[in-house]
Amino acid sequence: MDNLLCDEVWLSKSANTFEEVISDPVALKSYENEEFEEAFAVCLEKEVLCLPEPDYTKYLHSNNLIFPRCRVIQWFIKCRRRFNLSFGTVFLAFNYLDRFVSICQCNDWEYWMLELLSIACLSIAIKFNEISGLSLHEIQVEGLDYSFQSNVILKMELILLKALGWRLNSMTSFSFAEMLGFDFLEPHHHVKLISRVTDLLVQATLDQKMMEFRPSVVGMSALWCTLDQLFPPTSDTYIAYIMSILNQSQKDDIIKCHKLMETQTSMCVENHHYYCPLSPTTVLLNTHD
Amino acid sequence: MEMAQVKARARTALAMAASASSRKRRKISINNNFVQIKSLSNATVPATGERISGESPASCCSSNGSVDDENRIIKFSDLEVESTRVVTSTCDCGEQQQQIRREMSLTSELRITNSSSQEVDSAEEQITQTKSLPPQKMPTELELDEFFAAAEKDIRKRFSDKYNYDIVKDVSLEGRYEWVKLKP
Repeated sequence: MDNLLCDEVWLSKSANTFEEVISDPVALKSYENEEFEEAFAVCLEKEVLCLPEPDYTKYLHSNNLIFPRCRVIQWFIKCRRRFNLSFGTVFLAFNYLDRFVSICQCNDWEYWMLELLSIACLSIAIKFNEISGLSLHEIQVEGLDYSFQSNVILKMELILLKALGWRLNSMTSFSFAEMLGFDFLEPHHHVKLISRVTDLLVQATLDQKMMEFRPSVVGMSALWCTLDQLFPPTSDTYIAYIMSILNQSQKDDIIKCHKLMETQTSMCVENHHYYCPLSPTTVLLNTHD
Repeated sequence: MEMAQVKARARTALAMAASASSRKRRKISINNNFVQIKSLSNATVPATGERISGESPASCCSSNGSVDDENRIIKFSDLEVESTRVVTSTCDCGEQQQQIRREMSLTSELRITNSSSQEVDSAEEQITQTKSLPPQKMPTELELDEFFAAAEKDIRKRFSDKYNYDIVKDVSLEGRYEWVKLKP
């Protein structure tokens, strides 16, 4: 309830701020907005409740799940395009998948298990975040090696919900980028910003090196890279402000993640691949969406 | 009843064959016997009893044309086999008996070949059908149950570890929480 009220108040303040701004993108007065800082702090606390277990990356590696996970992430992205889902929905599905896999560490993961889990994750994310739903048959139309009966998927969904502790409103890297970036800039800047940021975020999701960072760190780094590229003057001022409200370890993580993301970005441009995992131990997928 | 009639006709045919004088003629008559036997077996197909008992040699000759119909032969192969057995058991002449048996075994081999080739055809059809269908892999019921059971076990363990309490046994475990029993 408090979260809801806080968000509402903040949004109204944001709207006022946009009205005050003339046409100079550099001068965004909302940097000093106290309600924003409170909301941001709440989101950082909330983030901790919806993370995969520690050493999740090691677990994936030791169980040969890095590549299957990439395949499944790619399937989510294809579904997003086919069914015109929001990126918020897809990133929720990413989050549910990673949390479940790190919680229920079956001794022998097989690919069909991951596919069944993915269908359940996407189905729940759609029910939670989208206006109109999809039938379990529609979801399985394309891109899967296995098919499952509806009752099996529903049972998987219930087990998934139990595993997640029914905490579905996860803070994802996308939701942080959305809160920190999209709401601060004028609407005519959104198109470029959103498409570029989401590309970086999807790449980060596929990259096992990036998985060690929290969603907030990844989200802020992606926003930083994009602002540097699209709006250099605004970037310096804005990033300085964001850094000022973070503690030292968070700052260090963001700086490290930002450097890594910049490196990966330049490699990605050279390879002309999008949504392509760039870690050396991962097999490159020739998917060009 | 039908078997008795078949036996009677077989004896008649053999008697006619015995009356032949020359070897060549005997061979021809043996073939005739075989043809007649086929006709007889075909004739037994009609359901009407009266028609079977009322048949004359002339009607047998008129049905010879149907012998060439392969479908009919294949269709009623079981009946022919039964007739063959009956005829064999009633043979009196050793030499004729052997020749008849050889010819019948050849015929039966042909039938077996035909039927086996049909089976091959149907097998190929099944393969074709399988190929045309899109791949629809599904895990078995057992695999699914095992997966679900393992997942639920992990969830319960996670809960027990977090709150140091075993819900199933309703017993508190060692951990950071101290559980006090309340009396309702």
